Amino acid sequence: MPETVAAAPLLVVDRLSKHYIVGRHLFGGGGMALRAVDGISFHIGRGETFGLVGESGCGKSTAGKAILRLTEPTAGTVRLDGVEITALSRRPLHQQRRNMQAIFQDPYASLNPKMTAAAIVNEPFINYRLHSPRERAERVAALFARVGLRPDQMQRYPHEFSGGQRQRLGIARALALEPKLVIGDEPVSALDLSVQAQVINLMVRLQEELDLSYLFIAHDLAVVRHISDRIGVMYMGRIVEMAAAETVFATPAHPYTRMLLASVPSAGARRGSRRRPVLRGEPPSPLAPPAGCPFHPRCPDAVARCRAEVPLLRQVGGGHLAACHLAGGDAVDATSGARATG
Amino acid sequence: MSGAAAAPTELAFSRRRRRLRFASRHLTILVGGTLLVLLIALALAAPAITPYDPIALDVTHRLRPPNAQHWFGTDNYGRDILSRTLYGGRISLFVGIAAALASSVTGTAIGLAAGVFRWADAALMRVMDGLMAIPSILLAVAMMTLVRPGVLIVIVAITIPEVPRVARLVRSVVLVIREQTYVQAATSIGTRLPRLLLHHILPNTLTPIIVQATYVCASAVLLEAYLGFLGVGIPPEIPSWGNIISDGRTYVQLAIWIVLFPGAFLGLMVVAINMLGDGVRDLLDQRLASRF
Amino acid sequence: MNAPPALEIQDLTTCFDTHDGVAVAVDGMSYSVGRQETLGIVGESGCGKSVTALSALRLIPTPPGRIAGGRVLLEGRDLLRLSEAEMRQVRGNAISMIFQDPMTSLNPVLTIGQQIAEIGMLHQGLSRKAALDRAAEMLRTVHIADQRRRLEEYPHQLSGGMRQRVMIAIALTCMPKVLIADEPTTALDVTIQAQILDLLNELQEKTGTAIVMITHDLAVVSEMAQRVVVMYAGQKIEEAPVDALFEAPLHPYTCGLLAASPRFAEGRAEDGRRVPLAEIPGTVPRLTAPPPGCRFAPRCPLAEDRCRAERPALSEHRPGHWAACWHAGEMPVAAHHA
Repeated sequence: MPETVAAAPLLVVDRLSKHYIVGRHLFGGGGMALRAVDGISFHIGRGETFGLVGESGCGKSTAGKAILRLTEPTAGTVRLDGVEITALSRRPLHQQRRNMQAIFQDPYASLNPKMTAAAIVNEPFINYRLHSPRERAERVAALFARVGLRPDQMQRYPHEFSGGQRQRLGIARALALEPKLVIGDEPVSALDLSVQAQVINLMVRLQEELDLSYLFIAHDLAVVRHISDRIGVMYMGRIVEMAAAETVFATPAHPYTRMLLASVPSAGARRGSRRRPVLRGEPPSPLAPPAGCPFHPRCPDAVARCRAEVPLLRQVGGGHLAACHLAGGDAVDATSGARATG
Repeated sequence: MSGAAAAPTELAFSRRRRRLRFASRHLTILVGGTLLVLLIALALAAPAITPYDPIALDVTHRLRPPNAQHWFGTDNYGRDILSRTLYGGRISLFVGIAAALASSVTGTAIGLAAGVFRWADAALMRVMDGLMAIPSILLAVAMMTLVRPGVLIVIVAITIPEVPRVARLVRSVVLVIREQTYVQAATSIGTRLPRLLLHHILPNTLTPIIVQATYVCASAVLLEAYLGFLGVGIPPEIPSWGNIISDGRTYVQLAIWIVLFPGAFLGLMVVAINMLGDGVRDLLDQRLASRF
Repeated sequence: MNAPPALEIQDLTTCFDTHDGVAVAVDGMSYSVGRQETLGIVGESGCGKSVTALSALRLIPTPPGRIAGGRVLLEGRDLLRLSEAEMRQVRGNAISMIFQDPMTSLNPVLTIGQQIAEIGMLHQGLSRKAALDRAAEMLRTVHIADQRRRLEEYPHQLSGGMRQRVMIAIALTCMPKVLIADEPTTALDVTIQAQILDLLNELQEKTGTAIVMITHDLAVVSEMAQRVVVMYAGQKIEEAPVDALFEAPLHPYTCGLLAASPRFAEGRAEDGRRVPLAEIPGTVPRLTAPPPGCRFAPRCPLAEDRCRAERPALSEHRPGHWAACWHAGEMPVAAHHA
């Protein structure tokens, strides 16, 4: 288990936001803010896996892209190994990209169909002018071996690979620059169950071999639980609960997390009463978030305070944070877990 | 043992039927391609196979209908129509292909710029819209009257009205490709704009560009004929289908063969190019479809 | 309970003629589902679970597909023997199907009301007004509020969960005997999925419809089904009551699936370290050239010569628990938490 408290964290995200303005008039007037990501804060230690989980539209994928600056954050800061990524201009950002790489969800769309597998994995070296041609070839071959692809597949095109193999190719590409952090945006969601297991095991093994940190973005709770050390639960652009993986699953503090866990289909639900607690209604439109706690319209425990006041992330146990008025706890600085002032 | 194995695993179609199915599916490419290859071969071989010099006058044999010495007959100057038609094909092909290439390259560059650089998009596209608003013949005629005629000028005059078509197509394809995950992935591994354009975006726009280029080629061939017919195209001393038809226009009732044969060849060439374009598009679409 | 099954598929075989030869997508499938029962069909992509259902409804495009054998008995009538006109009377009426992607299953240019009413007008001969009234009633049954307004809306104005409810409304308008649900919740969020699964159970209790639940998600099957059929490469390789399947699976492939699923696998050992998920090595065989003998043999840790040469027959190893394996029950299996 990695040391998350003693050593300085590798990635620190502080009040990261991404807003889109929709419906703006021709000359800039009007428009409504779509708060895809609304002030999230968390940190990831070295060699640690942080799972960011939530349903569609909660903003987890946008958060991942914002951290990588594939889309520009509207507010907040991201620090990778002490360097403030969000403040970098183009050239220094280019250099820092080497330290944070990504694996994408769609194994069919994340590879250029016109490039060979070897060319895809080799491209990072070209971009950063690393290594001699011979060394590049050696490194590409080594990466192929590391992810379990055969050398005879190097000259094949993406459409000749299966979904699982393409995902391995994406992983090989992500490892080429020897990053410290790898952000996986739903990396196994599009794969069959048995293939999913292969890729998950590969990612775990690589983490141990290369001391990688993962930000694992997914909607599948079981997968996130298996692979993550700590988990953040997102709803409507905010983190509503954050704790060690087992804690979130054993003692969820936020009503949304509890509902999420209760919604997972199980034989227990079948054997017990069919009418187990089911979340009512639909998520509200992100263009018109409710006042107060974003979850209150669907929350079975909502009280008057929930309708009026936005709950902050509070410490409800050792390292366990939840944003709910009813969960109690002290206000906290989520980036470091230390007590906040005021 | 699964008893049902014997019957279903036999091919429902015999080998012969499969070949027929292949041919019928690729009919447009086969027919169009063959026809085009034939026309190109004829045009290229013209100096070798034409019986007469296309510009040689022979007044004693003027306005002869098709006969043993002149398969396509002669015009009012006694020039052999067959020779003139084949030589005319050379001009048409040259102009058609050159215009297709020039407009494809220019249109692609503009479309890429508009698709990738948001700030340039509006300006470029409005210019394209403006060009498209002017009928191509009118534009070509206007240009030709301003400048001294020649083959090169005709190519330029035909290219310009075709550029917007290619540019709009490329722009729309680029807009789609830009959002593809592999472009984002390339950015995440540090790929910068020039390489992004050249290696990621451009290769994936080639398919529609190639298809469009064939249509532009057909359009160019026709446009050249129109210009020739109107008398503002290729200079009259060079035989081009437009010129030949233009010359023969006053003799339509007397000697229809002057107009008929070049016209037929023109029609065949355009049909062949269009069929080839359709076939290539269907083939590439099929492969795309089966891939996903 | 010896009532005749609502739907019975016997020895169904469906083939596709491709460039590379004949692909036998479904090879001698048999299953049955009774009134008010939910049968789960489980397998990974390409195993033939969807093709079986589409074949039963005669929705396979022919060419390149063709149904090469078997019977599909709906209340005693063999659907494969009906004419197309008779089949049209049956679809949407006695047997309905709902599909995975609610975005493409509904016609984007027709209102919700028009799409639901169409069924009533077609099969029950209702007038337009009566059909729309029935449509509003169906929307109420699937717990969509503000029915009259919704009838006027278009699919794109509804969320994924609501669209799937509309699909269910369309499917159940004529109170079919059998509902085939092909991955109905795969594209939905887990909380919406719970709502839809609950809805299906509720409607089943009310109407007694038999449900065939096709899915790759073992958790969904563990909740919804009474009996489960596991498919691999076009064949049925195991069938059992749901609890028996999860607690004591017989076929090595089923064991492999359970061990590969983070939901049902070990998770963490005592010292807190992650236990790797079991991997099933290799890939699914190509349907144009399946291996002789057992199709799973190339990937099976228990495979022997007999497995590679002789296809194991489906046999009842325990009461009601069938498996097609020469080594059924020999895989070491940890207790699975369902």
